[in-house]
Amino acid sequence: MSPPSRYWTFISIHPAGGYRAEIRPECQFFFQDCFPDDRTLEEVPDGRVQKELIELSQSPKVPARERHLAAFCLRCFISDQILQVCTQLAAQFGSHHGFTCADLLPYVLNDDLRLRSHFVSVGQEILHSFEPHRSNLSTWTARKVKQNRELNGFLLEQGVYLISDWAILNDTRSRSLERLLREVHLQSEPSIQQTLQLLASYHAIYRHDRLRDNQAGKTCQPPTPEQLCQIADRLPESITPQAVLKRLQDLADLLRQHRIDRRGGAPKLASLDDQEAQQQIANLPTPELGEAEQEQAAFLTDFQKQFTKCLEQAIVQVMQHWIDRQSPQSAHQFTFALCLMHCKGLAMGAIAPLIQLKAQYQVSRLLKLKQLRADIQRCMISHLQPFVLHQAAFYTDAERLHQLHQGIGTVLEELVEDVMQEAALEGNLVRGHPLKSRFARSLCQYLHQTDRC
Amino acid sequence: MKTSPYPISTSILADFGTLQPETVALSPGIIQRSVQASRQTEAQGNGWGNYLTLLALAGFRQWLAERACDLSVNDRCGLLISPNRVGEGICTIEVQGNPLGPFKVGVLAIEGWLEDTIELPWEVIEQPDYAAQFYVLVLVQEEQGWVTVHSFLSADRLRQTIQLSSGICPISLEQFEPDPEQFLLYLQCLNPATVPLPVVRRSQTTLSGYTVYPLSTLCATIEESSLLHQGRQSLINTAHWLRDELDQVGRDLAWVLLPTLTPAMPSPMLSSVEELEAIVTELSRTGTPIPPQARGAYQDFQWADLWLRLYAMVWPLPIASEIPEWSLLLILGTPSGGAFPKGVRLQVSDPAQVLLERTLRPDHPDTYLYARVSGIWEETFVVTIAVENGATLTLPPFAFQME
Repeated sequence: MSPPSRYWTFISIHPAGGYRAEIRPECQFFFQDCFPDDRTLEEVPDGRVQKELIELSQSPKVPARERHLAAFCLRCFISDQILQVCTQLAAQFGSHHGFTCADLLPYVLNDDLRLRSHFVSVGQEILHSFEPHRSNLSTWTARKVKQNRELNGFLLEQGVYLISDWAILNDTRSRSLERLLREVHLQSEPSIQQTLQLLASYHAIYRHDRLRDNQAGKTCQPPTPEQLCQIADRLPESITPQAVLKRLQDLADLLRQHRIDRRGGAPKLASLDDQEAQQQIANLPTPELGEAEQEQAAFLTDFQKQFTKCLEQAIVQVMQHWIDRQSPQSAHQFTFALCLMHCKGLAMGAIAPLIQLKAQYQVSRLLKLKQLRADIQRCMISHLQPFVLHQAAFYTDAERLHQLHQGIGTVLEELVEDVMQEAALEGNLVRGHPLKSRFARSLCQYLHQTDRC
Repeated sequence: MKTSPYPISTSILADFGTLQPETVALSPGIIQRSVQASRQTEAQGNGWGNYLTLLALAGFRQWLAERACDLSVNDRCGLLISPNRVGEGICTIEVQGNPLGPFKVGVLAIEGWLEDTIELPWEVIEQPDYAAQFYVLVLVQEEQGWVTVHSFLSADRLRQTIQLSSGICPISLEQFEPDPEQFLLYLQCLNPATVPLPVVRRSQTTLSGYTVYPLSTLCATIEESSLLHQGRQSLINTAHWLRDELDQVGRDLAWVLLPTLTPAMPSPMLSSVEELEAIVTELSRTGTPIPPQARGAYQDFQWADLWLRLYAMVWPLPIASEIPEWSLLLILGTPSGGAFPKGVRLQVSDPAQVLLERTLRPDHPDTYLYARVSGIWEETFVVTIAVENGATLTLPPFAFQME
């Protein structure tokens, strides 16, 4: 259900930025003439309305002017739905990945009711490809916007991606598909075999061509008509290329839905600026010393005496490696961002513009704080080798090495707690004073000594 | 009314993903390498699976290089074990750098959301020739060229859970430990003797249902073919670059054509374009001007334990005489843009003689070497790269043949 005004309000790009909504009286009168019974309704049933408008817009019996007006009403609806999708995308990813709804709109909101040129806008393309018996116009528009190549190119640059139908099919192994169809969807044996044959034929053609044509690592494009013919030829039943395309898209939809359902339980590697992960770290219980850990505790007491020295050594070594791995420009950004964070006390969001980056996620990717800290932690352990040589057991028993590592991790975690909290703060909160942990102080000392801060 | 046979998602943004800090973005050059290597295995029918496994290996190698300065992948004796029909492919390699000795590691590609189990032949767990000490799962997002080290499992833990003594063993993904940091710690600090490899070889050592490729033959092919490419047939005709295409030799050698400088490009290319732009700007400032119509391409290659990237830029010279001329600029660096390896020399020759040779000046550390030559259109130039121990790598000649 939608308010009927969606069918006569046209959304377009505002030349001064953002968008504008424009009531089209000719669409409003036409719509109200077509659906006189709905005049008093606050919301109209989209399914019925869209079906009738589509029929009107396509019927040769209807005068041309009315055909156009029916299509205009649908294009109004599509323009508003495009806006909704972009608004949601920006709300979900925009702040962290550095874009706004206004950045997205130009890629997909390019329809214009006044023009009658050969240019086919995204809105028109959505309307032309829409089949009312397969989907509703809201879902179809959302789907086409999400799959828009230019929009996806932009989002990918911002670190947000949508896997394409074709990559989903490439990724799917027949064994996994068979199990899914049999155990989750409870399909009949002939139906399972038919779908498996379809996937196998698709793989044989599409994957092969992708490798042959140097498309690897690039966004997957829909199969060409020629590829669809080849896929159809490999199937036992007689089927048109167009029908093959539909079946492949339906299969990709099924797999995509399954993928979304699985997401909840899928392993997710937490990043440092993930609030949830930060909360988990804050909630870590302080380890109670059992008998088995006394040896470790004694070790840690000795170890703490050497802590600062080891920390400094490890920082020098790991920092050098990280700097050497990068181009001079990116190494400069990296060390300057570390300086801003640890020595000047700025939050990630505030650092981005100071090092010519657009978004906080880029700072996260540049600094990789969790990984940097882990590398330093690991490096400390390897530096301690002479010191713990008499405790060779630590190095020959995976379990004990793990315990030692956790022990050091706990110590380090306490020391870098400031950094962790700071990193998790989203937005542009400026603390304005240097971080006080030993980790931060040692890192700042290194940055100062090497003239990088 | 007919309805779609499958429900369509109503939560419209649920299938968007984001780039995580720990994800490795593979360069187009490295992706091309994996394509090239997998092509040689296509006859057995698992080209795609092998391609993903090789991407996983490339990602693992890059991850290790980024994260642990003293650890590296040695694939000289490595194998790609590829299923002929079903099951997982695996690359077995050595990770070296631990002071107590190397670890043998099996690298597997997973796609990550549909599978609950992987299937490995028993031999990959129990036969000395094929077994590893750690098995690591690498999440491959082929479409984006992104790779993430996902989880690992030690062979002793794996052996505790499997009952079979032959055939294909299903292994639940839940058994793998989802902590790559822990895996790095083991590789760097654990005594390799702690995870013993099987020593007793069963009488039957062939892997039925699988094809085993030595990685040295798959991955070296590019270099070998470079050396073998001689004569007119195997020129890299850089005149094609100005028409926005690579010739067959360029494609075979996995050259990556870069857009004209001043682009807005998707992310994987951006870094290489930016890098080249920065170098070009610097060269222009120091007296080597490069005209805007110049086109560039690059090739990444691994050779003699080094990862190198060679950029080449070409452009026709303004017509000063009857005979048209062209210019070739070569820039040798590393794929990461990091410190340039010591002792590496860049040499450019014409068919008659060495024209110039560049090496890093000890007092002037830099991140790349560059060389520029010019000649008439018929002239070709040969690039040779030499390392400290005297080994040399010669690329097919660069030519500029307008048709």
